Amino acid sequence: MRPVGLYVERRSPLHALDPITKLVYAVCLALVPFVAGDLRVTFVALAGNLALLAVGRVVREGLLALAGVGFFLATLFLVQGMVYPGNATPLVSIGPLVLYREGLAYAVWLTARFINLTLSAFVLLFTTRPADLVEELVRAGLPPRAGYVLLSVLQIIPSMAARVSVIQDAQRSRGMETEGPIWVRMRALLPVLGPLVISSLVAMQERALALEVRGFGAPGPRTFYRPPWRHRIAWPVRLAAVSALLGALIWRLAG
Amino acid sequence: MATGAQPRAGIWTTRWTTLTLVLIPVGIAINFVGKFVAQALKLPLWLDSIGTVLAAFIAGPWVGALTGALNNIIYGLTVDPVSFWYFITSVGIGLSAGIMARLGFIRTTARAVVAGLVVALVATVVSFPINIYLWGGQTGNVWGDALFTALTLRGVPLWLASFLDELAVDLPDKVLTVLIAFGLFKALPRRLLSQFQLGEGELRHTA
Amino acid sequence: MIRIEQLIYRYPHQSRDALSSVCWQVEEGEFVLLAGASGSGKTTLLRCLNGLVPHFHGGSFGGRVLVAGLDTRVHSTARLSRLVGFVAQDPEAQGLLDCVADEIAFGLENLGYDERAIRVRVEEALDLLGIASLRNRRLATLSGGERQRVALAAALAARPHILALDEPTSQLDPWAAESILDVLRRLVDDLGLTIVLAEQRLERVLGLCSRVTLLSPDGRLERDGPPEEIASELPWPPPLIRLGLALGSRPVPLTVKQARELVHNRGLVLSPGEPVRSAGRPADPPAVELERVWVRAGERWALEDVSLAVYPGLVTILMGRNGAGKTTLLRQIVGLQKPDRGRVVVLGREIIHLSRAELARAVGYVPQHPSSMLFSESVREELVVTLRARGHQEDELEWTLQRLGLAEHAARHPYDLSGGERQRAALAAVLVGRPSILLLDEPTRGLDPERKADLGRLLRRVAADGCAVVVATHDVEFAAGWADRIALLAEGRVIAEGAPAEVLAGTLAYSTQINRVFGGPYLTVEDVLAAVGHAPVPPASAEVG
Repeated sequence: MRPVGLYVERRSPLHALDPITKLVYAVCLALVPFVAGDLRVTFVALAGNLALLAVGRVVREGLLALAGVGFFLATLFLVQGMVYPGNATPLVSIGPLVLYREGLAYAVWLTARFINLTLSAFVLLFTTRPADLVEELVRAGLPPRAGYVLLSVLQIIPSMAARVSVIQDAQRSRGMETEGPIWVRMRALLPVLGPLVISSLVAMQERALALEVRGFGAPGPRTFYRPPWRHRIAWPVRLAAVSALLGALIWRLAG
Repeated sequence: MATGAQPRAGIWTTRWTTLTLVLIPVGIAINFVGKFVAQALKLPLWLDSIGTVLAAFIAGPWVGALTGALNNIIYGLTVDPVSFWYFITSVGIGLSAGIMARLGFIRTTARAVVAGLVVALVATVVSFPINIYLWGGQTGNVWGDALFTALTLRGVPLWLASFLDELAVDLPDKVLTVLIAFGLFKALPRRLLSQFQLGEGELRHTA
Repeated sequence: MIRIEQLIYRYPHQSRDALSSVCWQVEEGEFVLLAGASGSGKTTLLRCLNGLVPHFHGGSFGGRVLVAGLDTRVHSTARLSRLVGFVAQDPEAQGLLDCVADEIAFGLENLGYDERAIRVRVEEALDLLGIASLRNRRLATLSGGERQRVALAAALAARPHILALDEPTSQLDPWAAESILDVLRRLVDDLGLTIVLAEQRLERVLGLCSRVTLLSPDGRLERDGPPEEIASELPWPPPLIRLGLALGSRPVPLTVKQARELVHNRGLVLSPGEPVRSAGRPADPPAVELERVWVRAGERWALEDVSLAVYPGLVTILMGRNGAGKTTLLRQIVGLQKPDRGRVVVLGREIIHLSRAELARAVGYVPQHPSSMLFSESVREELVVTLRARGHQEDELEWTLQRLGLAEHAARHPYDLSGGERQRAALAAVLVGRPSILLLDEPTRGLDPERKADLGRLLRRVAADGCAVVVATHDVEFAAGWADRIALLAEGRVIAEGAPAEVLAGTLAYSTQINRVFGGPYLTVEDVLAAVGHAPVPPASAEVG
């Protein structure tokens, strides 16, 4: 079964970089436009992210994932073009609707900021196995309990999704409709979620038990099986990312 | 053999056990799968916080809040980075659902509707400022955004239009979410629930 | 190694003790089989060994349990986990992490071993279980048997003194179960571990263990001693023991090999008999007919050119390994999946012309885990749900409850029932719609021999009312005992079909233990006794003196 998440298994310099460095990078670069408040800076960050996705050999996947929100971005242009409070200069009119220059510019700004945020995150998400990220976070000081919660979610979801189809089959063969008018489909929700939730909670008890018998929560420090992830350029990249963020701040204060 | 007085759970008390710990990932997974099922059934709703609400019903507001917070973190770390921003909303949903449950609002369906309204209101109040900051006030829901546009064009102030936009989306969604979680909660075996309750199942040595 | 003194334990919110006045001692290097009906406290006793009882479950606990000298009341489960390795029933629920090596290392990381020690022990555990090749695989991609081996490796990695196993094979197919037992045999021989194993399917374990402890249904220690001694007193003896008892042999044979020797010494040679005549096709028109059905599953065919008829009044059993196509075939009959080629005819009409509702009325389907369909607050409510979905009257309801022995449980929550009762509840929820065809997927999983026999009888009764019953199962002994017809599937094809003796006798993988002793068409103790004209067959539930 396909694991949850956007991770694409591939070999690239970006895949080899340690997760924490990529996390630092993603957070800093995603925040650059918010701090700088400038469209040009945003485009620079955006271009940087695109270049890195190319290094990670995941540009195609990244753009495809972005396409999913294309419709929403289109409505952003439409709505902001019409209703942005600062609207003054009409630009185009479609029937009774008038789109203003200021609104559209604002939509460009929102969109660029959003795409930059998403692509920054993609640099991390497409090239990092979630389990690796969590393990490194625990090593860096995240409580193991929180780490366990994050990891186990990734595991439970595929098995629950598989169970959904079994349950749907069972209920359909009992004559429950899953197609038709909205209220019929609404009623189909409980017979599917009911067995799922109850059996998950029962399985959850088993998991709690399995954790206990494997010494989870034993006093004393926790150790690690996998060696820490080291990379030559980890610190240079982290410093560069933080200075980009600082640069954005200076730009804002100076500009 | 539950003898002796059972201390009633205070609003904020939580029993932290390994069981509580694993309830959180299950809650998050239910959020995910609930959304998936809603999509499969082509329902025009998100229904992506059923698990958060259910965890709050079972184990109280803190567990609800934590489920909500971790839900958005894990979502942000795997699928959708924007969900980081709405982390506060999820915390609000978990907290309010847990408080309403502990205040006795999940005894009857009618009361659960009230709980749903409260949760919807909390979610809206927390979300709409984020919407204004990120999207100029829109929610991304076609009907909500149509309302937003119509209101703003009539001169309603942006914050109010945005609030109503979010409310239009959240009201049906959260009320239904709470009702579904209520239905699920009611159908849970008592034996299971008892493990989360306070003052019961404590270890006793008889010899 | 283990000493239990005057143990009394009761779970919270329960009205009776799960274990009462248990005094028990296990020496180092023993392999103890813990037997007893479901609900007799086997699991509870195992959970006492690592302190899950009472630390995890709560409840009231009296007496004391000493494990390698440590009092479990004082020491936490985490501390005891260094001493006691634990493997539970369900391989799915035990996997905590994504990848095999991480899973095995998890316990060691928690206990704070350093990186080098962890590496050594992980490798050691992988080798011990023969799963070094799975090191980097994801748990989700493993079969049940492989997952159970990983669970064993994870338990062994901390080098415990004691291994506590709670029905580790109950969710596996016979082949995977056999492989797990082989591993246990090796562990006993090579490592001298102390093993406590709770099991329902005793036939394969009796020849393996050094001691049997039998718990009575009320959670007392009933019998304790070497297997040769206890075997003849088991409440639901496996076939070989029943054979030995019927032949008046003491000690009773524990393995097929011993049974062969016994039979040989007694000069009890059964004529191979005439080759079983091919059971003719029943005269009734079939309730379901598959005609040259092909079903695609991704790259390959899940069903290839399958033709099969299912008749009213008969119990038809589909056998075959996991992935042989049993479930796919059932799904064809419920109309959950369309054939890519060929026709499926239900009650004389081709399935593609039937509406969802018509099909649901005709065919009842009980999926592998009954918990996949139960979601109501009570058993009765669960039946009402089906009736409402089909627009039936409610007068069938009480009758169905009565018939399945659920009348007294009607108001209870399905999840508060025992495994067997819960399955009957699922069955009731399907049967209440009076389907003409009843399909069950792996219904014997996790049932003890008594519940299995109950299920067999029930299915026979349902068939006697004119219902066509189809069961997919791995369980050879169940099929031999209760099937009218058997269809054997392999790689998506029906490779044999006919009466049980005709299909099962002489096959290696699917023969019963009795058949391995006698060969010929003899599948069950009853077959053998009938052939030798032996008079009294001891009842399956021989009273224990």
